[in-house]
Amino acid sequence: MRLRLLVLAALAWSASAWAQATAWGRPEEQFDVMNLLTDLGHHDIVTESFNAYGQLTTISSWKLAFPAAYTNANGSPSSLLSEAERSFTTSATLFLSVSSWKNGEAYFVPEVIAERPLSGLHGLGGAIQNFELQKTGGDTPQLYRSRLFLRHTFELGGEKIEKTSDPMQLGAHVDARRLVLTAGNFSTIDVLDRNTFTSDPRQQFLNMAFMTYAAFDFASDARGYAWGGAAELYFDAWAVRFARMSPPQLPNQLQVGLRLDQLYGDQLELEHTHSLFGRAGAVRVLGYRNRATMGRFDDAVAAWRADPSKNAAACPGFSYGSQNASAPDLCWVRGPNVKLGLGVNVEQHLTPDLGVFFRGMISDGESEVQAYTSTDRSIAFGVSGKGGAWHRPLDVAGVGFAMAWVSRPHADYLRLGGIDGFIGDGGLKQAAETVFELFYSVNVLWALWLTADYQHISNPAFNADRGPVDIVGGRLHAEF
Amino acid sequence: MRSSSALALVLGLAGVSCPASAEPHGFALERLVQAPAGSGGWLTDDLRQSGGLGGAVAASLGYAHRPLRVAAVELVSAEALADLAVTISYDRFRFFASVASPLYLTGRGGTVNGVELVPPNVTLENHPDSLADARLGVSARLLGAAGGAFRLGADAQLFVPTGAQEDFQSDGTLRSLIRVLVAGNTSAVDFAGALGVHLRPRGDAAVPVGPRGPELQLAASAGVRIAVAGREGALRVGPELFAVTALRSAFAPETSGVEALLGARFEARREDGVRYRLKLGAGGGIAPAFGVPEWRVVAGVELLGGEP
Repeated sequence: MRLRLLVLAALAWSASAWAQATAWGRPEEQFDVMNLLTDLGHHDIVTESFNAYGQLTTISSWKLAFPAAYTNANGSPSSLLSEAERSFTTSATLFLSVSSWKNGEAYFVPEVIAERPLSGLHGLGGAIQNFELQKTGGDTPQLYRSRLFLRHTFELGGEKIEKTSDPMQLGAHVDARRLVLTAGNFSTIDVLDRNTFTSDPRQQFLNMAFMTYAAFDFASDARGYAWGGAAELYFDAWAVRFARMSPPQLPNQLQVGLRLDQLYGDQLELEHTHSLFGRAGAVRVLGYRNRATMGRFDDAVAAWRADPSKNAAACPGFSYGSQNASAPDLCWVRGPNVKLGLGVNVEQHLTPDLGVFFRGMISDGESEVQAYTSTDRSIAFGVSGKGGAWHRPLDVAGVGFAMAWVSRPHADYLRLGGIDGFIGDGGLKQAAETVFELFYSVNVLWALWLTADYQHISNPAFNADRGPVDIVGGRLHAEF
Repeated sequence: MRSSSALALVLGLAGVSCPASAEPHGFALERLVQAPAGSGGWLTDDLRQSGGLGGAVAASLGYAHRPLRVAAVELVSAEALADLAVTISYDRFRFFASVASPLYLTGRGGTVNGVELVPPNVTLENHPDSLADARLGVSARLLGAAGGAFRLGADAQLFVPTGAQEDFQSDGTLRSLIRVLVAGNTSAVDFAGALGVHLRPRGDAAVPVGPRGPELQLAASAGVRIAVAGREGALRVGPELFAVTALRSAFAPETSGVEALLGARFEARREDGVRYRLKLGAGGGIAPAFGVPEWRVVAGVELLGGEP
């Protein structure tokens, strides 16, 4: 199930690629096949009828041994193991885009991934160390279709703006006022919650806390993708985006529900781009409402208090495998429930190559994680930039800090020994989970980067009885 | 990553490892191995590639009715696939790739000769992102001009076991196809054919009518070209035939299948100069074997760039 998070991470990458296209753009000195074809006179990269890009990313994370008052207490299986561990992901992706008709585009993105999470992808709330980790997968490479969707743009006037050629973006000139409709198989964060400085985990921060709001439980399957539709209305500096996407049939599973009139994930985002002291920036406000099959924490506790035989070890159906016979479990109370959240996303260029970001979200915290992380409230902020100032324009560096919390009902449930899709130590001394991340990516050659990364995570799984945890990582990333 | 993991990835990308499923009896059921994107009809390659760099993309939807029956057990009663393909052409060569997404497969289980047969259960809800075996290939026009009356060529295709056996989308092993191709045309009629060997290591399928090792394959097509008045377009209509037999028991009824399609293709040019083709096909099995359905419909679209 936790592998689903990995999918979400991949989705976030695509969002980042888009964000780069709008803010930083694709550096002319960076190698890729489409520029090569253009240089050879075989392609028009400004007004494209097709494009094809690819990427290969390998990430290794080494978690050092850390102190813990207890681990997997009373049969709960969801702690981050306290001994040293290593995790890896390797992904390869092809981004195929074609102009299907006038103002229409079709996209197909096959992807292969191999992975090994830390502790079976258990024990971290909003600070999962590698955005690529999915809730399904393993050491053996697995090929899947990450995206297959159509897009149509209705031009509504205004000045012409350039959309540069990028993965999942055909080079084109479009009206500043336009309506963009997308339908098919894609990720919510392909469309919503972009941020120039923190949405591209294959080039920027590795930790999931920076990919999107940690508390944004956006509807998706176990890989982070979904079926659905989105509408984006752009009116000069303003944009409004709405998407209705398919939720998983059961929390954090690969199977999705396609009766979008019954169960769904809705999100609405308002964006305003601005110029502050001559530097570009943007402010986004996003609200989401999921109606999906989830269990409410208070309901699980009440069911267990009323009848202790309804405990985690006796689950009759889908559960996360706890053997704690003295703990409540969400398995007894799952059904159609509603989850709400509201967040703010801010980005601001300080120089052409450097910028700061902030994200903060509050979710209602009444029901379990269904698709992203176990977090109910989150903030993340930091600074990220390119190395133009030191004559390394393709290098990327960043430092960020994120905090995450669980709600009172969620904490009560965990304290009693309950688990959700990712966390549950069998007990809880409630505290905010925090992560500090520092990285530097060296552009080694053409479009090949090597990254060194350090993460310090306090109170893993919101539990002050455990941690802190230090994780060092390396990333090899190639684009073509 | 550990060296073993890296090796697994490399091998997986090369299609050398990664058997996709623990289910023992599934295999690659689909028989309609489409011609490369932009190459002509549904089954055959027109060998018209020429000139500089060009390419094509194609998407199709197909439905096959009752493609697998085992005695009285309708193991696969319906199969719907979406196929996506891309071709890059240069001079007399085509390099192509394709992969299908299983959209819907269903059937009924049963027991035959003591073997319990488990039907597939594929929907977009329970398989939201799965793919069948991926195909990589190259074809070359060896003799004859691109627009000449007769052309001779060859192709080689590799099927990487990325699909799931329990979904009847993979043998779980690498497969390959090597063929001799012929094509030609008169002023109004096109014809094309292919004869080759499907190197299919799997020959031990528990399903009584399953794969029996390497197969001989034949495909043939003919079409009449009809100009569409007032448009820079043309319609091509004609039959296409596909036949297969396992070499181990060549031409035996239980290991040989024949299927025919009536295909139609409309080709024209968009305002931006990109050529496109709309394709339809319908037909059915003449001699049944696994993967040969009672009837089949398929529809697709191709976008072509480069040399006409």
